[in-house]
Amino acid sequence: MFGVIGLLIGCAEPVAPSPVTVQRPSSPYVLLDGPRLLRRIRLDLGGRLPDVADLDVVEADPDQVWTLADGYLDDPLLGDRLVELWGERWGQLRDDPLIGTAEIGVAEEDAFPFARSSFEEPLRLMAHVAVNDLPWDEVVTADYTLGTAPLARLWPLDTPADAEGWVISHYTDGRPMSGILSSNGLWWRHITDESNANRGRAAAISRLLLCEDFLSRPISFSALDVAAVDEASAAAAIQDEPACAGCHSTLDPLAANLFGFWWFEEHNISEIGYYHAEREALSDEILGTRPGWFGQPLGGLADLGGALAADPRFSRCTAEHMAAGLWRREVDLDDHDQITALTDVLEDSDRQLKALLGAILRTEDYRAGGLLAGAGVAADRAVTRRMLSPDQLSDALAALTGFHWTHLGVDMMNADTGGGYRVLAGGADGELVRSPQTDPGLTWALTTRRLAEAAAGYAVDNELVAEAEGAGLLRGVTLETPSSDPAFTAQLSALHWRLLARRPTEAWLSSVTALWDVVEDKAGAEQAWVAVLVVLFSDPDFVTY
Amino acid sequence: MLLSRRRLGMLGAGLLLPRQLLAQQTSQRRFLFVFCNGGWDQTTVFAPLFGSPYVDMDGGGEEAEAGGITFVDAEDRPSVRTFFERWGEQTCLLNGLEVPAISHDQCMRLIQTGRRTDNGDDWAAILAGRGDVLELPYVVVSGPAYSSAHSSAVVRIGSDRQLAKLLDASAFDSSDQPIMAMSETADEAVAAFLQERAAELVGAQPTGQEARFADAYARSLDNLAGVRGGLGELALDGAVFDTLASSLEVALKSMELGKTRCALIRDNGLWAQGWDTHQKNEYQALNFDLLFAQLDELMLTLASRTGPDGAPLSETTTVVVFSEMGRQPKLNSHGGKHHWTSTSALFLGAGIAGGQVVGGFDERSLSRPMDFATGAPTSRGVLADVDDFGATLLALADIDPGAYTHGAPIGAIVK
Repeated sequence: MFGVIGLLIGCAEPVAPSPVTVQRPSSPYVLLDGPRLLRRIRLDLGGRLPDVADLDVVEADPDQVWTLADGYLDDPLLGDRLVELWGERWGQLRDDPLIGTAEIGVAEEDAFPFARSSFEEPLRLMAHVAVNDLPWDEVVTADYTLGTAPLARLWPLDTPADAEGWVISHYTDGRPMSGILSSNGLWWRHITDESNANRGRAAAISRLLLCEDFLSRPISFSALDVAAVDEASAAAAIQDEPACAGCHSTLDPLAANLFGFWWFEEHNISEIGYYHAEREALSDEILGTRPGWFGQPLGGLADLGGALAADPRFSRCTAEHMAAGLWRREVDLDDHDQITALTDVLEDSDRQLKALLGAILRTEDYRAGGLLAGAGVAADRAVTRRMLSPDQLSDALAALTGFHWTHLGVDMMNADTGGGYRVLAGGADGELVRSPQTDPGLTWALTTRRLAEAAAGYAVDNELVAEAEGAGLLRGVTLETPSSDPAFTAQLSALHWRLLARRPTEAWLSSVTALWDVVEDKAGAEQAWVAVLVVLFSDPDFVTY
Repeated sequence: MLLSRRRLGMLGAGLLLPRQLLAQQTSQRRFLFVFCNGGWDQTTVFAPLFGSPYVDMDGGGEEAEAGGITFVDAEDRPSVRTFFERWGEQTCLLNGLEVPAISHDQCMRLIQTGRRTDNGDDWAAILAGRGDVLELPYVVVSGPAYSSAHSSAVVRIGSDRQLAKLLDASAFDSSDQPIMAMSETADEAVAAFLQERAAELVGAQPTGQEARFADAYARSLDNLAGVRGGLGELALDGAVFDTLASSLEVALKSMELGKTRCALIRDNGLWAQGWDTHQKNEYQALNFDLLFAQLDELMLTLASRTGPDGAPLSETTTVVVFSEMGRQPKLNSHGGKHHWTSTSALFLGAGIAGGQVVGGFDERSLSRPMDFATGAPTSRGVLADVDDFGATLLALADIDPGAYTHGAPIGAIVK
């Protein structure tokens, strides 16, 4: 599997031992240099900036980027980032509860954690499988899930009441287990009703796990030759009309696996929180079909995960989702060979997700930092500069400054309820905003400025005013250090390197020193350092990667 | 892009002008989109299919006409009649619009973008992104909005007035850790520094996505400076958002100031229960009565306020009222109606050839093919679909639809 890498441009770029064998006649991309690539990888895999020591290593020896990247893959921070990545792609990171939390006895302070974790449940299981090097099949075959104490107060889970965060848990209502397919969280996100009869859920399984989208096919009642459309004729058409049966002959048996999640009442936790084995047989009555998997009969939910894992589309779809997530663009036909090669990597590693991730990091589409002159229109699809997600920005600034914008338990940059700013900062909410913003806009600029202001103020107050250790961002100066002091310039240089993974130019140093002087003269050194940090936290090379 | 038969048909009507010429003529017409969330029942107001054995019409209704619009009139929704009496001459009702899907998510995406995937711009984002450079090009008060290449045009107000809180820094009051606001001196110096940095980025003449980012970054800082300078004019402390017009206040103020081209708001019907009446279809009547009362107020508001050129907003603003789908003609066993691929849309105000209904439904409430030039249903015509809906909107703004969709403008709608 070790093969040809496209043309590398520039002398300082790392030589990637890529396992992906895709031959390109010539690369259309200018690839990122070692430090900037390391920064991209660290933000994607850990949601924060690389340590200065790591930047120094890669600056001296660009090949070391891959050694460090493999280390980042083993960092527990990877789990949170995967949750965000899948949550964004699957529209699963919602924070509006399916059921009124007050009416089911959730304390006000638990309302947001409960709502958010109810949707995160399947994503946490996926992250657990990935981070612990388990075969990816376990995502759909595991006989356990991940739970939290707030969830277990309302769902039939054996999660200890004193559990901190997410822990391996088991449903206690006797439901058949097929990994995330048996999770409440997936089906709280994809609810159904009498007319839909679990078909939307079946379509979600196919779209999310096989990359086969039933809903992408046009539907038009006007194209049907039916005299009338009422419930009876619609049911008959689904089975008899070729235009309907083409989809429904496979969709309906898939939906038939899910009738244990059939609810008669949406505002009752004992209905929507529990599995109802006695309702499994309703598929016969409601859909007129028994459980199946694309033409093969199944015994029901217990068999569903195994059938899915055995389907070759499952691993290819995993490769597509992960590549799209890390390339920050949708895959298309031009990516066919690359996706095939990446799928092979996943298969050859006994379906360990980290192997797939490592291979994607080494692709040129991931490492692209610019376009060569005359690269052609096709190269325009490359995302050479990615905007930090609100979550990445928030996590990175929290690690740098100690400031994490929360209010009454709500993560303000990773939520929209409770006055949060995720959508205004360019994020998606899984409902009304399905894709993250790809370019800066007014509300993005305003939100990132306010966050930068808050984080900068916190760091300066903590490190320079209170002289606490803090995160060590401003370790090289005090409030008394004049701009003429070499230590001042050294501090600016260090900040630039740490935050942007680039050495500063003399012009930049001069202009930032001038900025500091102006503010210090009128508002004092404290405000001057806040201003310096804000311009760095708002710099185009900081807010992108 | 090859021209389809329907697009070829529009050439004679002058609706497909050379792109270069169109670029020079880009209209500055404004657009307000009202999205009725959940799928309205076309037979409650828009399709008087009385006498059809295939349709369960709302009891008590009758066919009526006002202002050139034929509609279903009923005692329990008087505001519908009032609205058409007052605004019918400025209203074009499109019947028989095809939305070829039946799930809410897919239908919302289709009618707003013409696409089945998330990676595209909705019509409003294109209209806003292609217009003059404005500070708040596309104000999303509420509702689903899709953006990609024009994502920098989108300005979300936030469900909890987050935009206003960020602007006046009251957002800092809601933090578990103390937040120290920057001094005015520092703030001004930072803004100037970053604008220079943006100019440097643009001046480097990047290519591909880098160029798009650089432009958007620079524009976002310019817009931020402009909006913060005009904060007082957009501040809405104490405002009550209980009607379409009042909820759109930020957008309307911004339109008055010439800062906004498009706005979107979601209508969730009576008691915010939405329009998705799988049960109790009688809620459609209640929703329509409330909707038309609010549209009446909105139109009066537009007529009473002026843009920066001194003209009433009603003369420069097109209002588009739509829902993501229609509803089946027959009642189900719960007295509701399931999803349907044929629906209706309303176009009001500037640029609209009002006082008419274009397209139509057959006796099964299915879309009828229509002649796009005249709007008349005819078996020799074509079904109007979501791409044609979008192409019509783009044509209303003098934007060549061919760059964004294979649909054709429905010429009969455009004045």
